[in-house]
Amino acid sequence: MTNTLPSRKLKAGLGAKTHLGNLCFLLPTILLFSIVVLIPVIQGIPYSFTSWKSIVSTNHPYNGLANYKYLLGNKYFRMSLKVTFSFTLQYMFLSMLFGFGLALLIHKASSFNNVCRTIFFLPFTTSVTAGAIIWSYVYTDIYGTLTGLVSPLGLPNQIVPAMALMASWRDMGYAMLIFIAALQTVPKDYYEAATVEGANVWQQFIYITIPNIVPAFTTNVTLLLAWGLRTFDLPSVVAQNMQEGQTTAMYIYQSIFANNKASLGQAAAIILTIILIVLTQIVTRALRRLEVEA
Amino acid sequence: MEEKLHVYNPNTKTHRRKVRNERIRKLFVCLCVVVVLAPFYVAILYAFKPATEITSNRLAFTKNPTLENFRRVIFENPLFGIGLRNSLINTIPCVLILMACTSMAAWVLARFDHLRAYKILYAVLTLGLLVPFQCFVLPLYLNWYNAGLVSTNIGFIIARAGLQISISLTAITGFVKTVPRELEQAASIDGCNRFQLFWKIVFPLMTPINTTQLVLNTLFIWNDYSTAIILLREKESKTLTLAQIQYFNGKTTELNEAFAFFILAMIPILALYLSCQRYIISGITAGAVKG
Amino acid sequence: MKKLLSLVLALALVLSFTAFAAADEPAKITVFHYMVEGNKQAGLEAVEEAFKAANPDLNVEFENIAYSQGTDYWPQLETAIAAGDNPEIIMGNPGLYSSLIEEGFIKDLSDNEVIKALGLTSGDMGDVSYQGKWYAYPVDFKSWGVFYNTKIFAEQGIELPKTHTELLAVCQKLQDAGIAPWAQWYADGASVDIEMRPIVWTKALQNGDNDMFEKLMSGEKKVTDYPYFEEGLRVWGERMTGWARSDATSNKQTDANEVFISGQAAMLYQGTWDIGSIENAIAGSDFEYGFFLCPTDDSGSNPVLNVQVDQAFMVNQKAEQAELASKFMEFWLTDCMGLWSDKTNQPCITGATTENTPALLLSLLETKASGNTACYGDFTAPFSSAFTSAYRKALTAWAVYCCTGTEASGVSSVETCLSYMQELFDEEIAQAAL
Repeated sequence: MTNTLPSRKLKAGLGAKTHLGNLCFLLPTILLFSIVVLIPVIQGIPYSFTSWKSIVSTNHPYNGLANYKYLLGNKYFRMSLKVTFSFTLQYMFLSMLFGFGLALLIHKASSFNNVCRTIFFLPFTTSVTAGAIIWSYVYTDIYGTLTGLVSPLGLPNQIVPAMALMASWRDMGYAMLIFIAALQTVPKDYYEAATVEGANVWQQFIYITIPNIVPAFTTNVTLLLAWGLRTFDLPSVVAQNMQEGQTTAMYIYQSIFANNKASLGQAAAIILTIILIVLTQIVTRALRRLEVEA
Repeated sequence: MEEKLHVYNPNTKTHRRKVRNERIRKLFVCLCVVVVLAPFYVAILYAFKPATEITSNRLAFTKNPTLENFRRVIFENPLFGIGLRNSLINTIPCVLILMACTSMAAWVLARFDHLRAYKILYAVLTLGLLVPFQCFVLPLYLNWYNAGLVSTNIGFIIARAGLQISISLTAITGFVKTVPRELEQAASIDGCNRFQLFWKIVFPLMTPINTTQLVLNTLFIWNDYSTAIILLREKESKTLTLAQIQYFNGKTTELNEAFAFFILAMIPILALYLSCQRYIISGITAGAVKG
Repeated sequence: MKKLLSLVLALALVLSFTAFAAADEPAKITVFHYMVEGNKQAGLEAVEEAFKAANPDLNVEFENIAYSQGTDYWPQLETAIAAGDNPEIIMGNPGLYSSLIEEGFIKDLSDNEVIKALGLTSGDMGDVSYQGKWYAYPVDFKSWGVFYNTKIFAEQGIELPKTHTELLAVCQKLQDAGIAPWAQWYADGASVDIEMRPIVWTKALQNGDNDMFEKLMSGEKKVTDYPYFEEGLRVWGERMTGWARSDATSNKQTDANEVFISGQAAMLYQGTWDIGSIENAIAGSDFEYGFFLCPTDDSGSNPVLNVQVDQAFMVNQKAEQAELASKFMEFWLTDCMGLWSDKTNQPCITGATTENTPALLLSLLETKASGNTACYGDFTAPFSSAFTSAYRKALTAWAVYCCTGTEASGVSSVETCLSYMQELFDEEIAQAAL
């Protein structure tokens, strides 16, 4: 006991100096993040407990939890959540499917494959808004001309899948690169050994490929989940007047800025943030457990 | 011997099947390429069409392709020059600041990730990935206005760098964890202080991920719309992405010019992407997977 | 690497600071507006140049800030003002910007001699009033009706329809000849709204329901209390069902113009605000179009012209150059109306014309002067932006049902559309009470 005490003190002393040095490394990032994200987020919380209407108004009386109670019981807010979830699921599914499929096709190094990778990542270099506008013409000019059918953006029961397809066209390249990266880390001798033992291609895929690239799934799921649940630019370009395409992020924006319900929108934003954090935590933890098992 | 001959004989069944499979794969990949590029075809179609030519077949390429739309964008739309200048002035410092800040922070956060305080700090800093922008845009704007930062390049640079931290930090921290500590330990025994250690030893080791992040961050910032439309109000401060949206605001008929603008705005970013694309893959390999 | 990095960084920072550099400070008038059309922006700049030329002693500069009305205009304006960034001139009809008026930003123009001297009607001034006071300078007005392809009409031997039944017969005839009757653009909220107005506005004002919108917003009355909505939906439904093109519900304004101009459809239900854009698009081609007001019943009487002030500008009295801004607006209204009309193809509220004014505008001005009009300004209050967007959502669902047969939000008949509309209104009322 007497022996360990001084050494502990010593450690603590060294530690303090180290931590101070660390702080110097961290400070620019912390400062930047605080003034741009953290402080404004905290500043925004009190607004959600008031009945602030137009943001030009200086009058915002406290109204307790009224906004939250209203939102949780409200049909249209819940509908916007439903749209958001259904969009996110379809968008994640399509992006991962396309991304993984393409990665399997072109993950080996060759000049042909390299050119293809460049091309498949190309949509990611466009802005979401410009991409959305181009796609509205793809749906009328290409899809419409070839099939003679109504553009899915004009149909309430098809608008969400249509948006998911547009979004995954843009983001599948990103998912693909992450999958390619993971596929390249799978040791080649695993496959050789399996071939010797007589495993067919399908068995190799299930028992070697998949378990070795679970981390790539985690990365993709986390990223796409966050992007999907926050989606705003896309529906605000193509689904302005269609209830069936209104995401929660749009509901928030409309409430705060367009419809003079600033505090209600702020409360909706906080609810969405909480849902996002909880959901991402659950999903990531579940996937991490899979990683360990694999 | 017999066995080996069997494998390498180009006339065997297995070999022919392999060749055939390879052909099918390439054909299929080419098909995918066509599908992925189809939307760009629409943009090119409109951009090269004379403004007065409106045909009933919307898919056919124009018989009189013209560069007039491009000429008009470059020489007659003052927003193009302004936008290009601002996009460059905003994007370049922003990605450099991000690289300097996040690589320093990521190193510390990765090396001390066994300590609780650092874990919490990391969780907070990556929270930005999860908070919807609408949640804090109003206070952000008010603060920026009071600081005189609205419609300035410096204001946009700071805001955009701050918003980008979370996603960038995740990737770089993941990468640093894969870099062995031995080199650092050797250097610190040699009497390097921590700043020297970082800039001389660690930072160069981070080149692959930093290049990747440089390109990806450039994409995000160059294409940014939601932040720009809030923070950049005056004409002189608009970026290319903002300027191009003006064309699409429903009430305009200059669709051909709009797509010409879209293509022009993509060129710088495309050039950067094409020249750096091999680093992107290697960077993602190292960073994202272990994240 | 480090040196290079810091060098580039320093260079970029220096470059970005040049944005601050300013020479001798002129008086700056900031105009916040939603005229995204090229010819209107050019028109505004022309008026500004004329103002500078007429006042060489003033050192004045203009900053025009444009946003799309549907999505970004009000959000941008609102954040600017909330932060204390006060533009001098704000485009908009005051009824939609009541919070700005209530917070004391907008200058009261009730005693303005220049506006009084214009001799405008109550319907005109109603659009720029809020609770009986004038708050904006009206510049021009808009209406809506049917643009038709004269060549197709002549080839098919079609007379201009005088009644609703005749209009349906025209649609059928065109359809039978393999020509799509309508270029529609129901992805745009404005489109569904203007299809309803000839009935809703006209009938409500004829029956003295001037406070209709006010009562709907307060919840005192329901949409079913006013038969005009039901009639409007039914008549518009008959007009669009049966011959909708497959792009009807995904087209926006520009797309429909293109369909119409390329001869793929014979008629286009459109606002007069787009005459300028259509003229630009057909410049140099042999395309010809005509315009008629949409008949909505079988009486055969002359259809009533809907009138709504289009470009209107408020002066922000909390802005630095508010006085100068008023002076500019008054100069515009008195000396530049012809210039504005020629640049934009817009009919001026004062009826001003030049030798260049096209026949279509002359006939609109003539109809307006005849008094056979239904003016939005004669309603006691307009729909707020929240109610407008709710209203348009319900109408869009109706358009989608009629054009594609797809049921959205339970809308599959006039009755279900009205109940969906009321549901959305109730939602707004409940939120306002929070």
